[in-house]
Amino acid sequence: MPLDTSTYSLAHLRLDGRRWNELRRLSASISTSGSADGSSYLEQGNTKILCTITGPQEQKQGGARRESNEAKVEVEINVAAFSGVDRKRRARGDRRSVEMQHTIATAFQGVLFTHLYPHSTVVITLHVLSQDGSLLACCLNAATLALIDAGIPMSDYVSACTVASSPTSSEGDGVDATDPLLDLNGVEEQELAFLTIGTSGEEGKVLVLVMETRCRVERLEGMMAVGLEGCGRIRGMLDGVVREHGGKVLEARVG
Amino acid sequence: MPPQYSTALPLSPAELSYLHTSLSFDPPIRPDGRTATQFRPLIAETDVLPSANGSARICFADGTEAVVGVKCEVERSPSDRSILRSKEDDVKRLVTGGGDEEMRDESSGGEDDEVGNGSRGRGEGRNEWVEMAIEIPGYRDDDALPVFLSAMITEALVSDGELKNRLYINQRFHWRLYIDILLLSSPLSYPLPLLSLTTHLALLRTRLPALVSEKDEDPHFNDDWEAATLLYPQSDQTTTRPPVTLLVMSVGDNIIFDPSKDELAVADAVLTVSIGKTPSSGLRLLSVRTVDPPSRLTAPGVPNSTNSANGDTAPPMQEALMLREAMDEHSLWRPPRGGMKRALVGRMIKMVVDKNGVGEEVLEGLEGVDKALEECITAIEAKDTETAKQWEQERETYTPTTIDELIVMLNPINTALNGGRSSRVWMRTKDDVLNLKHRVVRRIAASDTINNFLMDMWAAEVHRASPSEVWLN
Repeated sequence: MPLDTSTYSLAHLRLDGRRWNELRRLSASISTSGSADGSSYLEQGNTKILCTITGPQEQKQGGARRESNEAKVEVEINVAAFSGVDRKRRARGDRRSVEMQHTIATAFQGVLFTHLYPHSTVVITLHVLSQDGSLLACCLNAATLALIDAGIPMSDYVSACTVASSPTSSEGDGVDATDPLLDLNGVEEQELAFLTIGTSGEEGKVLVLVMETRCRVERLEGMMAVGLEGCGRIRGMLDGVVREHGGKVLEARVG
Repeated sequence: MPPQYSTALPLSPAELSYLHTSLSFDPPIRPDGRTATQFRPLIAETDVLPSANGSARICFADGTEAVVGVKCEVERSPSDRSILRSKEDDVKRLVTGGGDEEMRDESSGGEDDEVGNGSRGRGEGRNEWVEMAIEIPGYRDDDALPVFLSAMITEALVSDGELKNRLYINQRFHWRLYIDILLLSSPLSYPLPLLSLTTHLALLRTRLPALVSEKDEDPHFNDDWEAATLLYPQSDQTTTRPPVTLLVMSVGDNIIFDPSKDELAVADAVLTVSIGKTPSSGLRLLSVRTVDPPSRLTAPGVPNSTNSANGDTAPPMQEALMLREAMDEHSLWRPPRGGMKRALVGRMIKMVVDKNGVGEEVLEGLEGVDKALEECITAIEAKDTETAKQWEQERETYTPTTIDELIVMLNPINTALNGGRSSRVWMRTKDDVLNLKHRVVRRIAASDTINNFLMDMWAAEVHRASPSEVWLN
């Protein structure tokens, strides 16, 4: 089986050669699509997400008019049929997608300055081209970049990553010092208990914390500490991407 | 978002008339200055999805982009029903006796191109083994546009009858081909040519694992992806290529290719022409379909004589109509009426299918994307380790140049560039098993045969075990 305990304890290397606290290769670019208000493309390992933003735009006609002084954030996740190992068409409204959409929408509803755009809607469309673990985290990261590209003001970056409780699925070790694993790929996600943590701001204010599996409660603090550190690093990388792009735009204008 | 592909802001009759008149000249004056057969530059990438058997991405100049992923799965063929059930029906087919016949489903009666194909023993496939799904943002799966597009592309794909035969493994198993087309931007203009070109490119690069089992035993495949065979083999002279569908429009006597949204709004007639290529016998016309041009939905202009805003009273309805009919059609915009002349259709098809015509240019251009990659890979694999080491050294001292930045800006999906350096590079030698992530860049300027087709191509990072950092031009 992939996460054979013996190989990890030998050299403390995971299957793809990473150590417990190493992130996968993250590469991102913004303004990838000319036709959308904001767009970004993010790759974290083999998880590839393309995000486009439409908005802020008028509320859709029809249906009850929402009385509000804030913009509403709507999220649509479109998982391509070729994204996994097996080809599988997902129904639009399936439970997992709806949950993820809701999580992302709530997270950004709190971060974006929605009071600046009353009675309007911001639509975030996420296309998952390839998935290999950390889906929710990558979606959050991609959406952050796209929203920045769209020029919608927000209080800070939202960066997210996944953390597993331990490198082995067996809990026979007890509570001794086995490290939580950072940034899981698809195989690891299936085997281990993990959580997704999303933070915003340099001080690491937690916006999103999702855990669908179970682990012992003593390990939670350690996982969160590792997760916060990982999110901080990802935030730095996202910031770098935005600054680089901004530099190019400035150069093109000023010459 | 209301689904529509007509112009978001409708053009006024004056603008429509202006466009129409410009396009009726000889030679036609197009808004962006192209010639009648000149295509817009586009970006094409292959192998963008590591988990798909074949994939491609094409971005048109107007911002629309599409990604196509082709995946294949082994499926069990239905066992033959008893020959007692063979009955005469309208579909002409000869069912030979014996145990190795496959019974056709009722549902396939509609798309029966294998009329008269009797013996379906070895090597025969079925069109149902090809499944296509199109996803367009803003449309549901059962809306008219995705359904029609899917039908048109599938029809062209299976029309040559050869693709399904390559999906045959043995009598008990076959490949099922899933083609998933994803339109990443909302359809600003009719998306058929974009989707068709992307599908063509993805299929060109689709590979099936190599079969190592024999005859009718359970299929086993070679684990080595390098040994995988192409679905459309390149060297075999008798196989066909996947089809391509082009959009052709006419204004007056002029025939115009690759129309932009504005040009479509004033078209007299629009055709989609599907062509296939047989290396031995040149181009072959697969299908022609008419498309209702959006110009028919435009409002006619109001002539000054009947315009009540001028201060005079407007004449009654019937008189206004008669006046409008009598007016010279060039002075006022009128939505096109009537059909196409047969001679015009013939000319349009001829322009596409002719030798050195537009169709050939397009297919060659697309093949060029493919070939660039193949050439580089074969060139690299033949090299020895010294050259590979030399490249490794060069790569370390390499600094980004303007070409690099251009790539990053126009080719955003290829983000592995990371400012010109890969973050992890290993080198493959004959003995090593490490993989080199590399970037193949090739910029093909207008060549002799592609003089009207501007195409900038960048092959995406290739997750293959071949070191190469090739710069041409």
